[in-house]
Amino acid sequence: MARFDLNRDTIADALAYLESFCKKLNTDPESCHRAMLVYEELVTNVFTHAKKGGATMLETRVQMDNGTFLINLIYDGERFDPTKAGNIDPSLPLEQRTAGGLGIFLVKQFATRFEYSRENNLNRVTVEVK
Amino acid sequence: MGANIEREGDLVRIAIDGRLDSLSAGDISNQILENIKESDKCVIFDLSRLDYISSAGLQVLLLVAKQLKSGKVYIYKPTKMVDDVLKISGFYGFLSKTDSLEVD
Repeated sequence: MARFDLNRDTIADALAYLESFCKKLNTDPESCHRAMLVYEELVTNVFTHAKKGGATMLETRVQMDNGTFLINLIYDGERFDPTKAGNIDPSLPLEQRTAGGLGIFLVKQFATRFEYSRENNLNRVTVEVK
Repeated sequence: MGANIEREGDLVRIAIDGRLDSLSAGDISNQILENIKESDKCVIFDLSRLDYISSAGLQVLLLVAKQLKSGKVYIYKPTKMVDDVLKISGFYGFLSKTDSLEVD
């Protein structure tokens, strides 16, 4: 588990945690890339959007079970449920495309499980990636 | 790190290696946007050595595609991870894959 202070630590610090986890694993790079993508999108959202809603800390935990990555994020601040975001239409033409929502859209495509709960004033996100 | 950009008339070739993520996308985006013009006819992204892309990287491709008035943006030999992300995001609706670094 790793804990980050959103006012002092950076997205790079948080991403380094998963990178070092992946380096220790003897697993295929494609699976690691999928996990990294999901992790990066969620962590970036906390450092940008959740922080604006008063979040000050983020805890992340990554585990590997039977070829599946289990990623847990806990952060404070206002209720911020990423599972409700990212409902974009990938068939839209270029003129109607915007950058917003792409990150969580990708999480939804790559995750085999994506859950959110709010407990004790904390946001909890659980994701599985194969 | 960064993008390797070559211009040949109104054709621009951009090779990006390694990772195009939330840590690198800002600098790479600035570097590319400084080097392309609205009037460019063709931009070819050489992604044959790009191992990883996230939504921050997709935004770079989107910005370039929107920047060109009537030119086309091509993707040259994307790696599997990058190809999967581009497919899933629907980016091949406005970007085309190519097997050549030359213009047709």
